[in-house]
Amino acid sequence: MAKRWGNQLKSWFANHTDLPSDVVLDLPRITMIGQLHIYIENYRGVLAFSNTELRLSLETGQLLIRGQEFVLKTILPEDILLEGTIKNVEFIESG
Amino acid sequence: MRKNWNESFFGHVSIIVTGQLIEAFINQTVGEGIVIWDIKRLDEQRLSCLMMLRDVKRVKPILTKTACKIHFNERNGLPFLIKRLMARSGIIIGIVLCLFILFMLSNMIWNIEIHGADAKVEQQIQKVLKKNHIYVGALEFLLPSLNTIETDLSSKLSRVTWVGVSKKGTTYRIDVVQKELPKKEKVTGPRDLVAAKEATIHNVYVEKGQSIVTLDQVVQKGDLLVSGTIGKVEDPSFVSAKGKVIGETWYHSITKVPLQPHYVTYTGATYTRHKLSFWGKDIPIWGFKKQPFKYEKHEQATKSFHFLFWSLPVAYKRVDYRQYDHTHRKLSEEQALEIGKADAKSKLLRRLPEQSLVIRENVKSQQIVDGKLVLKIFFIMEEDIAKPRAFSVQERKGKLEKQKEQQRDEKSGG
Repeated sequence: MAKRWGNQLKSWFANHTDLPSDVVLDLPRITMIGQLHIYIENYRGVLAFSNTELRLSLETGQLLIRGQEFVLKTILPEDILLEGTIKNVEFIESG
Repeated sequence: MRKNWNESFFGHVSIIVTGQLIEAFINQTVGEGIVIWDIKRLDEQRLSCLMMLRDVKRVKPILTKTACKIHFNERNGLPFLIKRLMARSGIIIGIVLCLFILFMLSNMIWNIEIHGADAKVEQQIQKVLKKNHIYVGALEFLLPSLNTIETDLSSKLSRVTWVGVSKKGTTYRIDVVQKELPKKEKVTGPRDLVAAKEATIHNVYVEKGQSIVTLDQVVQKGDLLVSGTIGKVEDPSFVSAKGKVIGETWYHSITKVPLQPHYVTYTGATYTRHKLSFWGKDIPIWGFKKQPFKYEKHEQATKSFHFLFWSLPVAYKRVDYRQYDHTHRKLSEEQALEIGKADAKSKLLRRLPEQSLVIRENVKSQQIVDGKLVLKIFFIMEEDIAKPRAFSVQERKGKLEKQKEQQRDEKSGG
């Protein structure tokens, strides 16, 4: 109950101030350059990585990226840069 | 921006990680703050990535934790480059040696030019330079500064007004301005001027002393012309007589002029032979003709080779042959006469003091003997006939005293 109240407060805060929501809400910020690059900030860990798939865990849920010839160009505790041909980006909400 | 210089400077490795929990490996590595990049999945159990060489040790505990194995694939960067180069140490030694030699050569004196000095001063300069260790082949950084050399040179050379030392690359240039010392006139003792030969006096120019002779007087060899005794008879003083006495002299000369003179002239044709000499033995490398010319004169120039500052027993020799020819010329009697006259005149003038003049020349006889024109020529010359003769003051005084006494005696006697 308290967590839900907290989330609601954060969301209200994000809506009513000029602060970016990824900072306030601890959400991932995802930047894509065409199909070539995808840059994800604020992820929580790598769940699976292969040539065609990258599954990241987020604060809430997971992020699934599908494509071809994936290479993890950079991987840092907070951000990750993936290179390849990106076909599909999908949020999987945790039940 | 990971692909920067420190990546290649510190070296990085390409590794292949094998194991079941590869994702866990990635997560833990990243969590430790170990930088990995260019991660590629090879297959179910394998993954390739790059990492810094210095992080390899830190990865080990993670490997054991996640039950993964590591396999090094490629090694890049300076540490590995150095290692690889070390294996080929010959190349390294070569490169270093090459640089070293280049360095030494560029710091070496290749040439010393000395301008404005005559042979004697040049030799002196070279001596001083050698004392200062400046010679062809000396290393520059062991040498004193230009200013020191300059002051040393100018203090040691007395006959030099100014010395400038300058350096142009590997050449030292030494400019010298030499003192022009006036010739010192010899201090001469008291002396007379006497006739050097029989002559008729034409002119007398006396700088010091007393002229004894008059114009048109005929003097014999050894006659007194200008006396070194001057002043009153009672109180004479003695000087070194100086002056010119121009007299008319006569000479007979006999000259022979061949009517068919024989000349040697160079035709202009040359032939060059090049040789290399090893330990004194000549090996011809160009120019193999046995006898290039029938009549030839040749000159040989030898240049020895040097390696750095050692002279090698190898030398290059060059022999230039120049062809000459014999030519004959026929002279008419008049031509021979002209030549003979000029010849006799120049021969005579060479024998006489400078500024002698030919007043008259007279061909007494001309005959052809054995294909030669024999000329007898009579010359009337004008020349300086004065010749110094020293005397001792005491003797001269004594003589004067005697003369006085004689005169007195004569007077008293008369």
